[in-house]
Amino acid sequence: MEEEMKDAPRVQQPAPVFRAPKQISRPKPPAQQEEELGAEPKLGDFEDVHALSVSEAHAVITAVHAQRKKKDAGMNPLGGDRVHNDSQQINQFLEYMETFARYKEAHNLHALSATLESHPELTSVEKAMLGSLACDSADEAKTLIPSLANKATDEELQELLDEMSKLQDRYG
Amino acid sequence: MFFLKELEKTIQLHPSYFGPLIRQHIHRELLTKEEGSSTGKFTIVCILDSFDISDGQVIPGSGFAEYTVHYKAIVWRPYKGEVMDGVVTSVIRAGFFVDCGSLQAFVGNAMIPSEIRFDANATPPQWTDNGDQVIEKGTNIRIKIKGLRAELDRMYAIGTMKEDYLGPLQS
Repeated sequence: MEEEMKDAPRVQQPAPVFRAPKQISRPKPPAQQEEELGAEPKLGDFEDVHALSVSEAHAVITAVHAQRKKKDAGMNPLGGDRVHNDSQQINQFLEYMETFARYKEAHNLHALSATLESHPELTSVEKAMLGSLACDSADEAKTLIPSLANKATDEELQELLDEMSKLQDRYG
Repeated sequence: MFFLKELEKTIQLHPSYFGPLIRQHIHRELLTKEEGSSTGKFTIVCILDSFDISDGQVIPGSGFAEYTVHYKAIVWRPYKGEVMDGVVTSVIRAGFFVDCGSLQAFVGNAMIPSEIRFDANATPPQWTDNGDQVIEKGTNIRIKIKGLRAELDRMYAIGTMKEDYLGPLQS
């Protein structure tokens, strides 16, 4: 029996071939593009997100807090009549919006968004910036918001800005 | 700039909260943990009161239940190159600090127009061009963000006012 095995032709084992593992290095992180607001705004993952001006954010947050206050104390998830969790950041933002919201009256804010709506060429970010910064002249608007440069002529922009300043409640 | 963003958060709930008020517990957890928190890119300022809660799933081995909550929130995200208004919080010889919400920005003396100089003898100390531009504590000012840096729960920025239409706001 053993003799027979000896005579049997040996099966040629193929020489082992070295195969690199499928992945030799960690996947590279996706190329980080610089996110900035310049002549061409690059917003990263906020590209399709609706932007709000300071006044709009102020109106929404005031409404949410009023709604929370209206609920009875037992139903309020924060307990009592607290409207937010008193963190330093929230208080800073409330103060900030109180100072810089230029359109505090609800009807003025509605009129403003209707005015801006009539300019479909403006993106949501540009509308929000125009609403927050309240520029006086077309040149000022184009300097502060560089992406406006090719969107509208100075005359069109000036007309829009004049319209907007009429709605503004004087602050200060 | 403020954005209205849809976000998602996984919340783990201790078994002692299981009961008829579970939705309220999840809401409370969401408001206390998320409002005011900063992810390094943006700060969540306010969570709108309508949100969706997924079915809960008990985690094997601990008894906690895990819920995924979809919600909409007002978030604030600063961008490089953005022009924003802020309030001056302190004035020093090397420049001044501006608070824009929870973002603290520093404007160094290289970023201030050369005609505006530091005046240490005034009380309080101020940066001024001896005309109508006075920068002291409490001044509302318009700056442009030059650079951003995120730390654990806070963001810091470098600002400039050495461009057209930037500087103290007339009020």
